[in-house]
Amino acid sequence: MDSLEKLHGIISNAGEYITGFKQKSGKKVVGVMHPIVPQELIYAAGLYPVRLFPMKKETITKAHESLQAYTSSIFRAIWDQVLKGGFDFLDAVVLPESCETVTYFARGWQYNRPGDKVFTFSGVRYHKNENGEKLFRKQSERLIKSLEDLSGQKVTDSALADAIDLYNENRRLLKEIFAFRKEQPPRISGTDFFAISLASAFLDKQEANAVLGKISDELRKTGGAGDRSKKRILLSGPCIVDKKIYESIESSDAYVVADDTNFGLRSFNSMVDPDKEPIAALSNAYADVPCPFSTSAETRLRVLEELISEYNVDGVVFAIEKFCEAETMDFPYLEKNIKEKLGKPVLLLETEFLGDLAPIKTRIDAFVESIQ
Amino acid sequence: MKKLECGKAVSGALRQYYRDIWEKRPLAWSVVSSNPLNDICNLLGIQVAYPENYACVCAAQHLSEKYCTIAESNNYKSDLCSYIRNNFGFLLDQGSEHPLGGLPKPDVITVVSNACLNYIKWFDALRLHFDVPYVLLNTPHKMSQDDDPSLYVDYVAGEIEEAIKELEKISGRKVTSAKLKETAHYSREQGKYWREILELNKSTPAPLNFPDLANLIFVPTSLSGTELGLSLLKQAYEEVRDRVKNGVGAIDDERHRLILLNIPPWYRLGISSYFAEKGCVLPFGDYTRYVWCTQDIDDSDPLEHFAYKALGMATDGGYGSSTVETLYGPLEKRIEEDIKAYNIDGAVVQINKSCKIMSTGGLDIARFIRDKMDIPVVVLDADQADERFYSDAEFKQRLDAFFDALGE
Ligand code: SF4
Ligand code: SF4
Repeated sequence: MDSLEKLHGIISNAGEYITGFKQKSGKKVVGVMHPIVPQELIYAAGLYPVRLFPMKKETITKAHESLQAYTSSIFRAIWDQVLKGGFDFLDAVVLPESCETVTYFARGWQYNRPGDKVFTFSGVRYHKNENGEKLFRKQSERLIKSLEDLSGQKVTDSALADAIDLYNENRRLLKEIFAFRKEQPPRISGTDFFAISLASAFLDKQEANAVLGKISDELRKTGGAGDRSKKRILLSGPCIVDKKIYESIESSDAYVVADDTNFGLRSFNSMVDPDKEPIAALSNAYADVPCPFSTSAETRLRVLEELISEYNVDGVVFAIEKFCEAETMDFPYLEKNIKEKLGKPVLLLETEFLGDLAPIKTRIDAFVESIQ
Repeated sequence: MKKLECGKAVSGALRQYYRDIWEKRPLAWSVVSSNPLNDICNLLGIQVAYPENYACVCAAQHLSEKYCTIAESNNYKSDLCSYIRNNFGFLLDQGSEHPLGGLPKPDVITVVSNACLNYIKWFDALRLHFDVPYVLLNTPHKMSQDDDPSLYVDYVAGEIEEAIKELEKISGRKVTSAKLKETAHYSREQGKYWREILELNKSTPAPLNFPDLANLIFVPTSLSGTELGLSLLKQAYEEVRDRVKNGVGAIDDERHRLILLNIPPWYRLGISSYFAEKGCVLPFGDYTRYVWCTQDIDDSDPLEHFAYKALGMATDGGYGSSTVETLYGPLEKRIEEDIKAYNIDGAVVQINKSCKIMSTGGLDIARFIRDKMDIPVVVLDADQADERFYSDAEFKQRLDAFFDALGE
């Protein structure tokens, strides 16, 4: 599929795409960490939101001067590339209260690069009650003010409604494509879906929706081709940004049929109710994003249980970034329940940015082979 | 090192506290950070046990190797805070003898999210482990200079009101407004005495060293919002004031005054004696000065008092807490002022694999102190409660080079 191949190319040159779109659209670029920031607000301010991830496969050489090593290497790599000019196309960033590294280093970013526009969004984890919605509103209003100052454009009700529709459409398309993996064999590989979801994280949403629509149409027409006897794997983990993890699993005797990751499901599973007052609707939707830093292990188990049953999963692979503590903290509970309650085997992999995947590959092969 | 006379009264209170958590019910497990739920539990007659403190006890008794290994073999991986691993190691090793007889099972889990983000995850895991009610007080972290606590005080006060309702159900008692006012008053006064004690420690020689302060911090944390806590701190204050009047220092022959950043390795508390032998006293650090009781908080509206206490962010241009603001909070102005006021001539900056919140910013603060304050700095790597990777020889070697840089 041409569109798919194009996306594989784009994800390895994200910076180039972003710079190109910035020039073409004249929009300022706002980098966003994590799926819990309501990007609709950014879009409605006439800005171009992109999710942050290490866009180059470069060894970390500078970050350690300011960011201690007992932190996630994904974020250290981002910081390293910021320091080395790899993110010079950014006009601002939004850092939410989320995982430990990002939350604690938000002030470090501001301290080390006082010229950067760093907007923060705190207190909105665990905001599941009415009082929490008020806080979400207050924080959204503060963020809107900063965004309007940056773009010189007001966030009007109609712009926000349009942004919500556009993002909902993006979520709908991603869900639709995600679901093409229900069948055996799946109509699309996990590796391809990874490329789609990662690209959606930084492509302009209109362009993304056009490509996703095309891919979805094509997939609807084609049946899945491939080995029906391969095992069906659910991959769970935080910021998985390297498609090699997917390739490692899929070059074993298995398909990745569902992914619960920061760039996968967590980025599109919560639809925003278009009929509700917009900020209340955003608050509701973003409270439901099942990232471990904003929800209980118990809620996450429910999400995983559903995926396991709907996607007929044979085994679960957790690929957890070293020092990603919230994710690590949930693992014992999730593993115990998935094994004991659902009777599914579980494999835990510890990953690091640019880490050696050879030993991981051996473990994946053994795991897939062991699945009955 | 000279022990405080009032230390006996504090130890007595500590023993009584441990008897109470075994003998009285209901019992909460909670966190020691600037946590108003503890004040409210004390008010409602709910006993509070602290897994963090218990992890320190285990580490001091050199059990961290055992407990961390058990936790890790049960999937609590080594990059998690060692307090958490000590805690789950202890919980999962129910057949053996434990220090102080262990910790009795809780009737409720309470947690405030104002220190590390792991608090919520850890205590949520405890809730799932014990299957008991869970009272969570969510507080925003200060992530930028314009995160002013006044933005959040209504939200946090609302959360505290909800928490009170839950805790009332558990205790079967009611929080009256008179009682809440009294508790807020004790909480405020305790804070005042703690800060006064730290003020006195600006004197040369310093009347208190780090271990004295670390022992004393039991009072405004575990006995927060109580009359007993206030009277113990008053006693301590008076004694410290007398020490200052009489020129009595915590160590003999004080020659250097050091700032200590981060949580020290509890399994090597003797390391303070090593510092003392070299004439070095540790009159303050982030752990003792920037975490608890950091500022005066008006108590005329008790709910507001507790909300500001939980937020821990600086009010009225004052100083908040480093755990909620990270080390970037005191950087640069406060650190500079404090280094001057305490007459500090060297800095020990520890990077601690367990406590990311107290380690992030450590490198920037070390650079600031070295370059802008022009005093020797040593950056050490040590975990607070996981002894397995600690090497005394290596630690001392680094310190010796630092002592050389400090001079005589
Ligand atoms: S991998 Fe985990 S710690 Fe790292 S940036 Fe993502 S969520 Fe944060
Ligand atoms: S990470 Fe730090 S703040 Fe959190 S429990 Fe451990 S020592 Fe305490």
